Amino acid sequence: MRVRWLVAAALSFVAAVIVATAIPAIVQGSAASQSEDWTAPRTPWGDPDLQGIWTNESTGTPRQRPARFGEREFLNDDEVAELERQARERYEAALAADDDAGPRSAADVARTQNTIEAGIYGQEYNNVWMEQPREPGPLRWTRTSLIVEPSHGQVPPYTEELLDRVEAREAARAHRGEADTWEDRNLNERCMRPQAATGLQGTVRIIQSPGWVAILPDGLQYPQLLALDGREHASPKIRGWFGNSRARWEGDKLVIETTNFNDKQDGGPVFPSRRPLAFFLGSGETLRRVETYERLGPDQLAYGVTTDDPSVYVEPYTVLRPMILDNDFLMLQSGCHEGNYGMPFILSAARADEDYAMRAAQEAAELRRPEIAALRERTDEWLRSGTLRAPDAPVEEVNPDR
Amino acid sequence: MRRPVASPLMLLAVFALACAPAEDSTDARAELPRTHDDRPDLNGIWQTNNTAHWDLEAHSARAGAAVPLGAVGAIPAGKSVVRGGEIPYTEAALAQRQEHQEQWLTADPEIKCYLPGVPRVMYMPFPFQIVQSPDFILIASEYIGATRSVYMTDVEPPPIDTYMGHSVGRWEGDTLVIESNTFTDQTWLDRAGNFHSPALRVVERISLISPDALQYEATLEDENVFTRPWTISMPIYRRLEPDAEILEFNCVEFVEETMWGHLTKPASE
Repeated sequence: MRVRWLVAAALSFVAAVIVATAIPAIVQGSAASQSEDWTAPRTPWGDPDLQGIWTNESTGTPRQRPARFGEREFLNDDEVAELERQARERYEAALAADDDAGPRSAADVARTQNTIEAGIYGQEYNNVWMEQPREPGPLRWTRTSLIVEPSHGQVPPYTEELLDRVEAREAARAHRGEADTWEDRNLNERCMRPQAATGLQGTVRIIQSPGWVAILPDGLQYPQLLALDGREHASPKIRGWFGNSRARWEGDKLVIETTNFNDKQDGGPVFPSRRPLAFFLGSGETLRRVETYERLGPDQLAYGVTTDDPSVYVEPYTVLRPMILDNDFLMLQSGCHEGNYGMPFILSAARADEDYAMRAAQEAAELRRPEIAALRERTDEWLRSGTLRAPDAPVEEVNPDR
Repeated sequence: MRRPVASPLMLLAVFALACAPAEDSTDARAELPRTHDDRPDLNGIWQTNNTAHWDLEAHSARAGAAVPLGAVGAIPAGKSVVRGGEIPYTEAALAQRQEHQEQWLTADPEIKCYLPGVPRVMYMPFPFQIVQSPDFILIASEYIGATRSVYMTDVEPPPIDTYMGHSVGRWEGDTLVIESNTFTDQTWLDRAGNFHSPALRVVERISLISPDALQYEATLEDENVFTRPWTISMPIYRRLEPDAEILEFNCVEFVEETMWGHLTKPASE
C-alpha cells in the first residue's frame, strides 16, 4: 500500500476532494535523534522560521481514539513495535506490487467494468498522480488519536441547534431533485473549496516576511495571508468562505485564529442531494478556528486545528498531526471551476431526464387519444340512434402502460 | 581660428546640471526600503489605478453591457499602456480579437471567474500582496485567491500547461525580473478581448520608484499571435491603509447563475 495524493492541476470537480486517502503506511525518522543538537531556526528578523514545503506525515493514527485505548494518549512500546513491523510489511508488499504495467486487481477491474476505465490493463494511468511508497523508519508519532482535545479523543456530539438546522434543510429539499440547480450539489462539486472546519489539508508552502506569514496550500484551497501586527479581525460585517485570519507567535508556535466565516459552509439553505452526512454538517457564523504550526525538529512540525463552533459542536475539539518537510515536493497549480465540465453536464442531464419524462407522458396521452375518440363515437351513436353496433374488429389495447 | 562655442569646462557644467536630477533620484533610491538580504523590499499590498483591465490599448468611455447599471456599469476612457500604442497582432489574431469583442459576455474568462493568467492578474481592479523571501516570492491577488509562485531558484516547469504560468525570477540590480511560460490559451489579457496562445512568454520587470510605488513592465512574446514582442508599462501603487489586507473574492458563487442559469429546472406552473 502507499500513501496516495492527488496533485493534479486543472481537474474537474471529481478531483475536488484533495485529501490523502489515508492508507497508513509511512513512518519516518526518529524524533529523539532529531531533537539532539537542534535548535529552532529563526529568520534574520528574529521570528521562528517555518519556511519551506510541509506535507502530511503519514502515521496511521486514527482521527478518533479507538475504544481499546480509553483515555490513554500514547502508544506503548509493544504497540509501537507492532505498528513498525506492519508498516515495513506493507512497504515491502507495495514495492513488490509496484508495477505500473502489471495487471489491476480483480476488484478494480470488476468495479470499473462498465466505465471508461474498462479495458485498461495496468496502473500506469493512475500512478502518475500518486506518491510512491517511502521506506518506513521508526514510528515517531505515537499518539493514539489525531484528536487530542477533549481527553475522550472523539469528535464531540452536534448541538441540538445544528440538528434542527439539518432537519430543516432536509425538509427544504424534500420536493427537489438531485440537480434542480447547482445548490442541490455539494460544495466540492461546485468548486467552492470548503476548508472551514478541517483547516488546510495536504501540502503547504510557508513563506515569511517581516510582519507577515503566508501559507500557500496545494490543491483547491485558499491562501492564508497572515498579519502578525496584532490588528483586530475585520469587521464582523465582512464574512466569507475562508474567514478572516490573524496570527501571532506564542514562543516558537505560530497561532492562527480565523473568524468571520459565512453561514453557508454546508452549502446553503438546501441540503445537497449527495454528501457524506457524517463528515461535516456545516458551521455557523459562530465558527472560530484556531490553527497552530510548531516545529518539532529539522524536518517535522506539528499542525493543530481547533474547531470551536458553539452552534455546531457541544464543545470545541482539537486535531493535532505531524507534517514533514519536503522541499522537493512539486506543488502544482490547481484549477477546479475552470475545468468544471461536470456541473453543466449534471444540470443538463437532469433537464434531459425531466424532458424525457415529459415527452413520455405526452406520447402516452397521444396514444390514448384515438381510444377516447372511439369511446365518444360510440356514445354519440347511442345518443343519435339509440342503437349499439358490435365493433367491426376488437378494440386494440393502444396504451402500452396497461 | 574661431573660439569654440562652448569650452570643455562649460560642457562639463552643462553635463553636471543634466545629471543633477539623476543624482537626486539616486538619493531617493537609496532611501527605498530594502530587505535583510539587501534586495529592494517589495513586500506589501499593491494595486494598479488605471483602466488597463478594460483595455490595454487606448479607448473612449462607453456604455456598459448591463443596461440596468447605467453609469455605474459604464466603462471609463483610458490611455494605452502599450508602448507604441497598439498591440502588434498578426492579421488572423486581429480578427480573433474582434470575435472576442463581439462575444465578450460569453467568452471573457473573467466573466466566468476563471483564473486570470499573467500579466492580467497584475492590473486587475483588485489588490495583490507580495510576500518576498530570498528564494521564493509569492504574489497573491484578491481575485479568487489567485496566486503566483515566483521561484528565485531554478525549478523545472510543471508537466502541464497552467492558468497562472510557471514563473522564475532573478534580480538584475534592483529590478526584479520574472520570466513566465507554460501557459494555457484559456486566459485573456483584458476585457477587450486581447489574448495570447499557449506559446506566450512574459518577461516582467518590477522596480521600486518610491517607497509606495512600483514601476511595472511586461514584455509579451508569442509568435502565434503577435508579429513581434511588445511591452506594457504602468506604475502600481501601495495600498497605504495601515490595516490593508487581501480580503476574499471567491467569485464562483457569483457566476453560477450567469453560467448555468439556463440549465436550472424551470419553475413548475
